[in-house]
Amino acid sequence: MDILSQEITIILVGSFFFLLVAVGIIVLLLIYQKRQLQFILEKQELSNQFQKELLTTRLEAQEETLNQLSREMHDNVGQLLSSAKLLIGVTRRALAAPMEELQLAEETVSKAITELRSMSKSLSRDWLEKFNFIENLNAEADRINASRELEMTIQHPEVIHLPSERQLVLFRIVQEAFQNSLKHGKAEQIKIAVAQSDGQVHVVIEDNGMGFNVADTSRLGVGMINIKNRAQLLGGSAQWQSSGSGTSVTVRIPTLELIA
Amino acid sequence: MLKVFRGPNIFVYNIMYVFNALALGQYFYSLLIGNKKRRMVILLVTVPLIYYIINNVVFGGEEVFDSLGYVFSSIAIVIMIFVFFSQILANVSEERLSMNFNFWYVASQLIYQLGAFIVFLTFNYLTKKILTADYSRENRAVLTKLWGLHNVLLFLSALLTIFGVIWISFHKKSRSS
Repeated sequence: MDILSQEITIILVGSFFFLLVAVGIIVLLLIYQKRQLQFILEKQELSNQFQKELLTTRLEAQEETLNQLSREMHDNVGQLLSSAKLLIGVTRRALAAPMEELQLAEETVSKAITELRSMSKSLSRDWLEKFNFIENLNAEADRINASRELEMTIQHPEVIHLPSERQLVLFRIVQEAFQNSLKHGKAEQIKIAVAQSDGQVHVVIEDNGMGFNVADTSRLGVGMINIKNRAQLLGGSAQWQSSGSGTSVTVRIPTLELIA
Repeated sequence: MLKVFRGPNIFVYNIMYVFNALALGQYFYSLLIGNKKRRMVILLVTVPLIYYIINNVVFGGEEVFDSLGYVFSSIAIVIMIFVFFSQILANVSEERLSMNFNFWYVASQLIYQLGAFIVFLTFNYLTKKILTADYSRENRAVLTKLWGLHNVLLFLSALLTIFGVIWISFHKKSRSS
């Protein structure tokens, strides 16, 4: 009986040991997987951060290029056109019987100067930052409508609550979208609707152009990529819908308060 | 009227390990990825099956607990469990392990199979020893208690599976709300 008791004790101790081993393996597995998962998430986070920084740098470079272009247009081309206008004026006044064409030339150059200045303003970051998104959008619509190539209508609230640097990026998105409508879609009408709800700013840019195949990602243009990148940078999204009778881009940007 | 079966019920115990190995083999076959692992599952399940056929069908078997059959079955299942765990470690997904039902079920099987391994291994030896040496009430009570330990381990493993199910559904609910 003593031997049997000893054997039973050995069995109990052995079973307990095996049970501990099983529990140990399970706990170790859980801890190891948790650490692995944490490592993967940290790696992913770093990669996302890197992508975001890369995107910011690229967009800043683009913004700087636009700024320089705006300065060049204003300071060099603008000055040359002003000189040309001055010379035409002087010549016209110096002549006893000035030709009608000279006055027409002076008016055309004058128009070109006005157009160039407004275009220069719409490209200049320093200028745009003086106004809010709605004011810039209205100015852009006035500029576009003045050219009579395109009819642009805007629906918007009084104000949108978005920090100024985000408003500028959103304005660039809209600029890029209607440039696309103009260049690729050959649109004649563009409707822009701005709204703010649920901590998001929604902008829908709709045109009556010839449309394109949204599913064909291989033909994603630089303009569309820029729109996507900018929206992504603001933690938002951009979606396209297109048919033979036009294209609409819906941009959703969260307000900063929501992200924080 | 129900007829009460009064014969020895040991054949039920002895066929149980075969069913256990076959059912878990099928389960691991669907869980493991890759032909090599699946072929290994088939091979592991074949061992207790062949042993059962030879021992019980060809040689008629004994009317006592078949320790060797249970040991073969347990080893086969534990190996399959380790292969599954190595698969989990090799393919870390974004889903937490604690949110995977298969993990909880396999973990509960490990607790049962590993915890009860020595009971399986020694039960035949102890039964025969008591039957031949001293078939007293006290000695039979010792055997009953030992099988009771096995039952506790089986209960623990079932509890762990239930805990896993509750854990998963609780976290899914709190995530969705």
